Amino acid sequence: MPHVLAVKKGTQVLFPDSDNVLHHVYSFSRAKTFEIDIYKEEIRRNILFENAGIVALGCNIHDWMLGYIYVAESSFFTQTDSDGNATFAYAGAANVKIKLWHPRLDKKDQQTLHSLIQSDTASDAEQAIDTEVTVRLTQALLPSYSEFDDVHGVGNYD
Amino acid sequence: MNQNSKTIVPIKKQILLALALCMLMHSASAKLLVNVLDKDSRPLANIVVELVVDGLATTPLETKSDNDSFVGIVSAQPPTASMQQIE
Repeated sequence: MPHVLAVKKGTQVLFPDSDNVLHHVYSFSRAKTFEIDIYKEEIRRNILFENAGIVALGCNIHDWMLGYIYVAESSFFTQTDSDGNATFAYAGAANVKIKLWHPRLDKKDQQTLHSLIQSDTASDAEQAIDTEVTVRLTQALLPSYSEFDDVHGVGNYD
Repeated sequence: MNQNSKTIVPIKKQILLALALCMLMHSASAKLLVNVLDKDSRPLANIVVELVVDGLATTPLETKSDNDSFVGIVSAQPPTASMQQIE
């Protein structure tokens, strides 16, 4: 499972165990509280995420395993690729704002909405124009969990 | 009667909005590319980017699939080629 997964509200997410060890996935997040009891590779569990919000995931057996599911209210979301790009089909710019989320983003950058400039002329509606937007963070990234000294090397559990 | 009129109005709005969205989806097919950089201008991967559209944020147009990061966004205003950042 990816460290950060974005899904639309109402999506079921499969939690397969492809390791050769047991896991116990849980979340206490307001958007979704659940747990999947200790399970192994052959057992697959679907969890429905019916509420929008951030769901932080943990493993009761392996404390250093963390994951996040971003449950979006609408379908207008994606995740950036290795070049930092996110692409949307685009047919206009009425009151469209861009919202970013990642566990390592400072709250200031998560809460800042970046807005498209609107045109006053409605007659251009049929002339679709490719638009590129660059969003630069205002704060440094927060440290990743593995950067804390007390967990170095803990991930080698074989 | 009063209760009926209260429920009919939002339904009409939703139908009109859906019609406008369908027309716009067929009339334009441009792309919006959002490039996310860190404070030192390095590209950032795996950042969730969500578009918040007034009045449309809860109206799904397309469903994101596992292998498709292309999602739809339409609005009732013409496209623009520039962008500003709100602090």
